[in-house]
Amino acid sequence: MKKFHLMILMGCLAFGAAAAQDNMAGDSAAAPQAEAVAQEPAADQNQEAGKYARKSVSFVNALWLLDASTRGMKPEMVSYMLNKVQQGISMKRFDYNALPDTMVQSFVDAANAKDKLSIDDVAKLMEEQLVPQIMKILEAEREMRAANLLTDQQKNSFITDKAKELGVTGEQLERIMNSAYLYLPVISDFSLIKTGSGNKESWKCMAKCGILWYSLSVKGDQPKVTMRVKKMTMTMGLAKVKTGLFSNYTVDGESVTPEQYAFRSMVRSGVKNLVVATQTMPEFKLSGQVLEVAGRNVGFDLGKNEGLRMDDKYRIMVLTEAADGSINQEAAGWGIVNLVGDSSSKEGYKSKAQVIAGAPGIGAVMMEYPRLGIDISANFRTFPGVKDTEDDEVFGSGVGIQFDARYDVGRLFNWSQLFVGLGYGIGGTSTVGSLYPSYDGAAYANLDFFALQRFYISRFTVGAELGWASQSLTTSATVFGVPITTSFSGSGLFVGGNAGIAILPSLNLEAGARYEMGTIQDASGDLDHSGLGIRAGVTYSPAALPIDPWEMLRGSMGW
Amino acid sequence: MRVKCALAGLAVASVAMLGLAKDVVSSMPLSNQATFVESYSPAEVTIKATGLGGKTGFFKNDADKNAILDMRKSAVFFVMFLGTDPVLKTPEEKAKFESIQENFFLGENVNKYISWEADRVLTALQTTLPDGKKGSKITKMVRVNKKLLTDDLAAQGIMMSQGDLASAIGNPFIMVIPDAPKGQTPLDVLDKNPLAKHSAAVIESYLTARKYDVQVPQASDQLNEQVKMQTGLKGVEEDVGFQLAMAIGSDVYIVYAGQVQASGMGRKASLSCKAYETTTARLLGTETGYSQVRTSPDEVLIEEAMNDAVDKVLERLRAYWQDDLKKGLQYKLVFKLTGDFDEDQITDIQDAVTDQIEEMCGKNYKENVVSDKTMDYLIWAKKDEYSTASKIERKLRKELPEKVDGIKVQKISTNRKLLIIGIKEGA
Repeated sequence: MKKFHLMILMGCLAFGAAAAQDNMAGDSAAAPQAEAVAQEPAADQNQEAGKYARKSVSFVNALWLLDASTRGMKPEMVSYMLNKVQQGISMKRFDYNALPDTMVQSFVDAANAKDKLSIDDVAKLMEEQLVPQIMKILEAEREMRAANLLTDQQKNSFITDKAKELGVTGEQLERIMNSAYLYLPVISDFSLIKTGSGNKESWKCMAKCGILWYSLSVKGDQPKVTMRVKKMTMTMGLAKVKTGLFSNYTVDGESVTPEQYAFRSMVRSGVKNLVVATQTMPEFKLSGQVLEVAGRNVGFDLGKNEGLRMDDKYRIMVLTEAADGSINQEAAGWGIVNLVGDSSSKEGYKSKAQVIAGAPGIGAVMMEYPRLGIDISANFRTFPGVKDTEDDEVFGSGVGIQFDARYDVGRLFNWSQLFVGLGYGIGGTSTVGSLYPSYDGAAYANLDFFALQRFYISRFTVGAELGWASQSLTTSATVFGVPITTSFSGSGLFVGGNAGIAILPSLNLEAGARYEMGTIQDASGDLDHSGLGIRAGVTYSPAALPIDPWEMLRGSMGW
Repeated sequence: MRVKCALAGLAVASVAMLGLAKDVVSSMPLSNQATFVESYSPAEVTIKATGLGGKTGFFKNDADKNAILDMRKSAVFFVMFLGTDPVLKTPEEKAKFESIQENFFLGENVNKYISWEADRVLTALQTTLPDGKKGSKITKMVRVNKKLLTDDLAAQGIMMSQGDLASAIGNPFIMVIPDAPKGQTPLDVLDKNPLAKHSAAVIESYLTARKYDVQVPQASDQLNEQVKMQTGLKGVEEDVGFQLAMAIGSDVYIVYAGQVQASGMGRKASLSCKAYETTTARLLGTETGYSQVRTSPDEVLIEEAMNDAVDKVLERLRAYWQDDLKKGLQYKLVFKLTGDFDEDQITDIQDAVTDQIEEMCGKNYKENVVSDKTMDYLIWAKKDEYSTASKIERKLRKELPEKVDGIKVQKISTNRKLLIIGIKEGA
C-alpha cells in the first residue's frame, strides 16, 4: 500500500465554523464568495442517450481541519482518515490524475503559511501548486480518455475503420480537459470522549467528515479551479472499554485500542456515507441506456469497467415529448442489477437488470440510484411464549418491535439479494401462567443473526431466512414485599419467510413469520421459548447512516 | 327471396372488406426525418434517422421495434428522395418508383440496404403519433448502402445505372487536378504537394469505385509527349488543332483546392471541389467539405473533408448528365467568318446560322456572342440524332450553304464538345 505523508491544513477558526454551518443538510452548493461555476462545453448533438462521461479526479492528500475541535486529532488519525477516504473514493468510474507527494506537500505548506484560509483561497493555491501537474497528465492522456466519449457511430466511422485513427474530435478533447476534479477531505465537530463507568465504560467518537469537490476548467490558456460542492456527513463510532488479555479490537488486520476502534469505526461509517454522497452527485452519477428488453429484464451498457455491482439499483428515466414539442424527463420505474457485464462477455458489453417497476423501452436511460447496501428494517412483531418442561405456560406470547440491519453480501459473490443481518427485538407480555402468579409479566429481548434470500417478482418480494437468536427474558416479582428482578437467557435457531411489496426503490413493506426454536435456561432447567412469531413493518435502504450497525454492535459488546 | 339473401350477403361481405381495407396500413415511412452525417465510403453513407412506431396490439409491446423499423425506412427514404443529392433525381424516376414504393418499403425489405446500425440510440421519446395514439420516437445512426440501392433500382428499371448513363452521354473521361496558383501547373502542384496528391487519390477512388472513366494527369501528359516525339521523328507536320485538344485533356475536370489549419486542440481541413466540362466551361457541380478538428495526420483530415465533398459533386454531375439525356448533349459552336463579306452578307450568314441551329435543335440553344467575325452558341443536340460532334459539323457543312449563297463551311477544329467552324467564300 502506498505510504502517505501526514499532511494537515490548519484552517482559520472563524471561517471553519461558518463553513460547517453552511452544510448541515449534507449537500451544499458552492460558497457564495466562489465564482460562478464554469460550464462544461456543450454536449455533442449526436451524444447517445444516457451516456456516462468519465471524469478524472485528483486526490489532494491533505486533511483540512475546519475548526478548533479537530486540533486534538493525532497524526495517525489524520493519516488513517486520508487513507480511508482515498480508498473509498477510488471508484472505477473515474480516471485518476496522480499528484506527487512533494507537490501536495508544497500545497499544504503554502496553505499553512496563510493566516486565514477560505474555500477560494484553497482554490487559488490549487491553481498555483497542483494544476500544472494535472494539466500535464490531462494533455498526455487526453486522447485515450477522449476515446471513452466516442459514440457508436464515431467508433464505426471512416476515421476509425479506414484510417485506423482513434477518431476523437477537438470537442471531445476539450471536454476531457474540462472534466477534471480535485477533492480535499475535511473534518469538523470532532469529539473523542470516554463515557460511562465501571464495566459500562466506553469510548465514543463523533465528527462531521466531508469532502470538498473542486472542478478544473480551461478557458484559453488559463486553467481555473472552482469549488463545486461540499459533502459533509455526521457519523459516530463506539467502543466498549475492555480489560484483561483481550482488551484490544481487531480491525483492518490490526490490533487497536478501544479508543482507536471508536475513531476508526467513525471514519469507516463516514467514508461509506461519502462514497454514496459522491455517487449521487450529478457529475458522477452512472447512467446508461437500455439496449434490449426481454420480458422483465433489460440489458444496458454499463458494466465492470464503470464499477457496476450486483444488486445496484437504477431508476428508469423516460423522455416524453409534449404536444408543444417540449421534452420532459421523468422517472418511470426502477430495476435491480442481476448480471454485471464485462468487455469479454459473449453478449457484448451489456449488463442485465430485473425491472421491478415500469416498462422501459429501448433507449430508456438507466440512472444510478446509489444506496449503502445496508437495509434497515423496522417491524412490529410477536414473541413466542415460554413454557416449562411440563408444557405449561410460564409466560404468554409477547408483542414488541424489531430492528434489523441487513447487509447485501451477495454482491461480493455475484449472488443477487443475499443478505446477512443482525437484528434486535424487544417486547413484553403481561400474560403469566397460572403456575407463576407472582410474576408481573416478562420483557423479551432477542439479538438475531441471520441470512436472508430475497426474490423479486415484479414489485412483490418473497424471502426466506435462517438464523440464530440470542434470547433473553427479564421478569420481576414481588416476594414478601420485596421486588425481585430475574433475567434468563438462551438461544436457538429460527427459520422464517416473508413477503412484501416494493413501494419505492428504497422502501419495502413486508410481513413475515418466523418459527423460533429457542430454549431459555433457568434454575429448574430449560424453558421452551419456541413458537411462531409474526411481524410486519417497513424496510428502508438508506443513503447514509450515522453509524454502521455492525460496528456499533461490535463496539457495544466489546467483540 | 333468394335474390334478397344474396344481396344481403354481398352487402355484408362488402362491409367486411371495407373494414379490412380500413386496417391496411401504408408501408411507407411515417417519420421521414433524417439528416446526412458522413460519406463513409464510395458505396455507403451514414444517416441519422428518426422513426415513429406504435403498438400493433393492446397486449403487444412492440412500439420500439416498429419505431426502429420506421427509422430504417426513413433513412433509406432520405437517401432516395431527400437531401441535396437524392438518388432519385428526376420526376420520371420518382414517378416510376411510386408504382413499386409500397412493396419496396413493405415489412423489413429495407433491412438489406442497412449495412450498419448503432447499438445505442441518440434519443428515445414517448410521443403522440400522427394518428393520435401513443408511441415511440427513436433516433439512431445507420449506414445505408447507397450502391446496392442504386443497383437494385437500376435493375428494376426505375433509374439508369451509372454505366448506362455514361455510355448514353458518350463515355466522358474525367481528370482530377488541383487548382494551381499562378506560375505553376497542376502537375507541378501534384509533384510538390503530397496533400494534393492524396486529395486526388481520394477523389479518384470514388470515381473508380463508381466505374467512371478516369484519366491520370501524369500519364496523360506523358502520352502527349510521346505522341509529339513520335510524330516529330516521322516528320509529320505539327497539328495545332490536335495539340489544342491534347492540351485541353479530358471531357470533365474535377478541380480541388484546400488547406489544413491549426484549430483549437487539433487541426482542421477545409476543401473545395468542383467539376466542369472542359470544352463548354459548364460548371457541373461544386461543393465544400470540412473535417472535424482532430489530432490525426493531415492526410486523414484531407480524406475526411474530401469524402464530405466529392460524393455530393458526383451526384450533381450525374444530375446534369441525366438532364442532358432529356434536353440533349451540350456543345459549344463557334463560327468564324474567315471570308471577306460585306455587311449584308454578314447579316444573311448570321440569320442563316440561327435558322440552321433552330432546325437542328429546336429551342435548345443559347446565343452567346454574335459579331461581324464570330458567332458563339451553346446548343443541346439530341444524342439519337447527333451521336458525335462530327455529325453536327457534317450537318452544318451540308445544309448551311443551302441557306446562303456564296459560302463554304469548313471545320477548323472539333474537340469533344467544342466545334470551331469556319465560313468563307465559296461556290
